[in-house]
Amino acid sequence: MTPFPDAASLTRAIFRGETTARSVVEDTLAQIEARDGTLNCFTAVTAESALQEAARVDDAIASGKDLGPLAGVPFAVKNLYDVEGIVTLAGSKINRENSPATQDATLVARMKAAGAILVGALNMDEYAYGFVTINSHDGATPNPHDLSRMSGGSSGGSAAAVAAGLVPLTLGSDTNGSIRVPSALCGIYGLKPTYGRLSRKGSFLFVASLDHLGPFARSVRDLAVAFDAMQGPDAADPACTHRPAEPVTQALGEGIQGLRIAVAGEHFAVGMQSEVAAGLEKVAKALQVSEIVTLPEAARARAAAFIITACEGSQLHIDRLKTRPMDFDVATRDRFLAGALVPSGWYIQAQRFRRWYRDRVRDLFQSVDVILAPTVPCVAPPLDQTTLEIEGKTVPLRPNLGLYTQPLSFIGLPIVSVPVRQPGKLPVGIQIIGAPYQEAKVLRVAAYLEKQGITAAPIAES
Amino acid sequence: MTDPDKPYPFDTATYVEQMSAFLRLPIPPELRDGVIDNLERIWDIAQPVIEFPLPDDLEAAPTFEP
Repeated sequence: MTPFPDAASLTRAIFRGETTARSVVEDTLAQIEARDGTLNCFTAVTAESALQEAARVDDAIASGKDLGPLAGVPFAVKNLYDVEGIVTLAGSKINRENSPATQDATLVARMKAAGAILVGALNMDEYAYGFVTINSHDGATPNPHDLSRMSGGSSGGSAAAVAAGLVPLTLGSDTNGSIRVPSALCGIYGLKPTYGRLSRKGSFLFVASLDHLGPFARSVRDLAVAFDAMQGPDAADPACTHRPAEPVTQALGEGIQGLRIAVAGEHFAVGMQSEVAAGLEKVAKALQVSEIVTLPEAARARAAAFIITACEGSQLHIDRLKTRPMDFDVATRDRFLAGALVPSGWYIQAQRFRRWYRDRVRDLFQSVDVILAPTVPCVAPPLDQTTLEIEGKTVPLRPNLGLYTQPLSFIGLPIVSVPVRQPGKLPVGIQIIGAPYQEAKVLRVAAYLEKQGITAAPIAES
Repeated sequence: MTDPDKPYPFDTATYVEQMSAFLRLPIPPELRDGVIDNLERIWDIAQPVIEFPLPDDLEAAPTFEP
């Protein structure tokens, strides 16, 4: 088990000569070897290149070179990121036939440029179409807090690897909630930045209109350092913003002074379990928030995100659906095939509605800076659970894990999911939601809650 | 299969059969019921979006800017 609380302190220890990158990487590889048989987070371990990279970091430090803010920090990525020399699975059986990637995804390259050391690729729902990380090709990734429960998805391997303390930092993707849902269920911090903020070049997309990439960590500082290391335009991703990078790490200590914070009402206020409601109340109380705001038509926004997901996701895979549908995961193939049959008019209406809804929410952010909402309606469900009780109704579990996340990623808002500290209980996540490009504000609130001891991400004891 | 408590104004099985032929997207027989179930779920979810009135001059964002 790593003795360092987070990546930032690990880098500091390496710089001070208290440990070496080689020692850290060897320990990380040993942990993965010993524990991943049970945790099932990794689908590939890049031991050889990680050890070479660690030696390079140690040599550079010995010669006094500046290696970047993540020098010597082991990290891993959801297996939809291109990693040079490895086949990009995207959780599928079909992609196993592809050639290995010839270069790293932009974000992998930027993490490496900041000194971080890649140790492997992580399990996910097939083609990112799920909230559970129960994959028929690579198995389920269980929740490190209780191995009989789900880690959430689709970036379940990314969240569980951090929660279990295998690595301090991972990267994942979020189309409808796939960073925030597993962060909440695994009790860690996860950042879904503004749509377009981080380059997606070299990642296997799911729904280009809605896909975001972002980091997972056990401290807010680590999220911020990783986010800053990955920011910046990238002409190779047509959705990537042309704005210059706006570093957030230095702002973390500014606190919540001057921020107008409110709790999301209506859609986001009903349907959650009592543990989740208690977590939200604890966060709101710590921030002394009593105002409630309404995101208009949030339920319709969720439905529109569902339509866009079904149409774009299916169309991306249409040739494979035509020729080899039985090679898809049992959990995705019926949905992909059905999505291919949806009329185009529905898709166009959903895209037009997206702009309407974006304009209403932009207006809302004139009077508020940060909005709070639960991340998931429940704590991590047992792996075999298929339904959920919401407002006295029995509904299918899997789509409803995204009840509160889907209407927000739909318009690309920056959000950090924070783990509320409730000792002896399963983790609960709360979304800290900001206006577009205001990552600094949501991370400031998250840092404040962490400092107050309201949120924390201790390594899971499984 | 169509929920008998929830009559649809169409026959989903026929739609799936015809539309999949139109698109040259064969549906394996063992997946047919699951596809029908999912399509009916999408139909239910989509109606509030389809019915929502939007002005003629509201166009989708060609490159979405949050």
